Amino acid sequence: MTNLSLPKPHAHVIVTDFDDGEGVLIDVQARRYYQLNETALLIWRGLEQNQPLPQIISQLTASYEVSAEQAAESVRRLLAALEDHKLIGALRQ
Amino acid sequence: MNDSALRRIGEDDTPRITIELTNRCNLHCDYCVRDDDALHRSPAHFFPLDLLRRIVTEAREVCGVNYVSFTGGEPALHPQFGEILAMVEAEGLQCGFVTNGWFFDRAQSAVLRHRAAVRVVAFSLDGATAESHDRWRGEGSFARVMRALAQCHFHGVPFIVKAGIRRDTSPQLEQIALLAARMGASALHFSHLMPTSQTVETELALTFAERQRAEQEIAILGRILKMPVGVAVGYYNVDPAPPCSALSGASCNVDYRGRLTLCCNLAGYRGAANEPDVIADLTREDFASAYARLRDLAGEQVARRRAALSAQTQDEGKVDLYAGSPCLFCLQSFGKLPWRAAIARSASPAPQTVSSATGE
Repeated sequence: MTNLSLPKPHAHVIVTDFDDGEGVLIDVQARRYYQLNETALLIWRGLEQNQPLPQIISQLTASYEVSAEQAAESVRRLLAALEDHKLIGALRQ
Repeated sequence: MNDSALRRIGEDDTPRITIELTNRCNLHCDYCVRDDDALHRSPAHFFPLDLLRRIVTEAREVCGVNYVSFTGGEPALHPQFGEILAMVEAEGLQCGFVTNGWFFDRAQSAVLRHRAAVRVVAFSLDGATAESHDRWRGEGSFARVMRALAQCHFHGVPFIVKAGIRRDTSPQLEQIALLAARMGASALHFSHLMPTSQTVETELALTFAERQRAEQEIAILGRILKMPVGVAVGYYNVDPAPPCSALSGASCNVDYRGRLTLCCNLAGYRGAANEPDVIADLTREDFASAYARLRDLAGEQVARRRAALSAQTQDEGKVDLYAGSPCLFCLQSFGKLPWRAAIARSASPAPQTVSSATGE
């Protein structure tokens, strides 16, 4: 997982955030909304900024009471979902 | 095709007044109907709150106005936008506004604070993709308006989409409709291009046959989709009855200078030669007396249109779009299209010289 090369968000996906810390992805190609909770939004912002995985994980552990392993698992699950919905490029090991 | 169904979109009978909150806009859309100097070079005018309150109060008393539609320029640029919505709410009225969405993050808190007063937000869209929309509105515009749609959708603020029918957008009508529907719009109002020059008309406007095809496709989309879809501006309609809210007396416009005018589509028209649609300066005159003259003007215009349609009927087989489209008829007859008059003059044979009887 730590060797994972993180994919970039697709250009046809637009993000907007809300005052409560959550966000929404707008896939203008598929014309669909996807809601992001706080941690998912944080991860998405990390992907946008091309942050390395350890940096995203450390942000998660700094912001929430989770271990690095739990944070890494959250990232992995979200990336799989994002890839599944074609919101990011393909995952590469 | 059901002409009346098309005509009624965005033309309900709610007495309403349209008010231009400012002359300024942050975007530079080449096809815009508003005078370019007013939009981008003249000093910024922001509609005074006190005058606004007086006008809507008088309009409610005189003609039962209970809905205010804010336009511009870009209305969200008004520095007192939140106070304006608060005033509308305090007066027990409802409002909507037309916006390009660029500054929606600025306007949003006011919209949410006064949500009871905001019936609808109308977002302008120039295509179903960033490429097509940003071509006119500048890079980043599409993303901004999409974010604004999402914010409205998830905060439960009703919104509609307004899209122009032009040479570049006509192949995208279905995509625009699907995008609007999937983003949660409560309606989609298409508008035919209002030509501001021969170049704009030649390069962007559809021919009569193309307009008919576009209107037929929009009618089909309206039957397929659950949200109302139709043509709000520029449709072809040869019914001699008053074709729109302005001519039927259900609506009027106040421009950014506080002048009462017949219709928001005629006001401050780019390249116009005349302003016979301007009735009164409401900074100096009360609404009631000005409104009476507005009704007279609307009645005269309905009669003019009826005569033009009658002449067209007698000339069977010939379609005159500038008579059959109520919006184009008003633009032409109110002197908003001097370039067309120049074309007509150049196409006519040179007038014969008439000598006086005295030979002078």
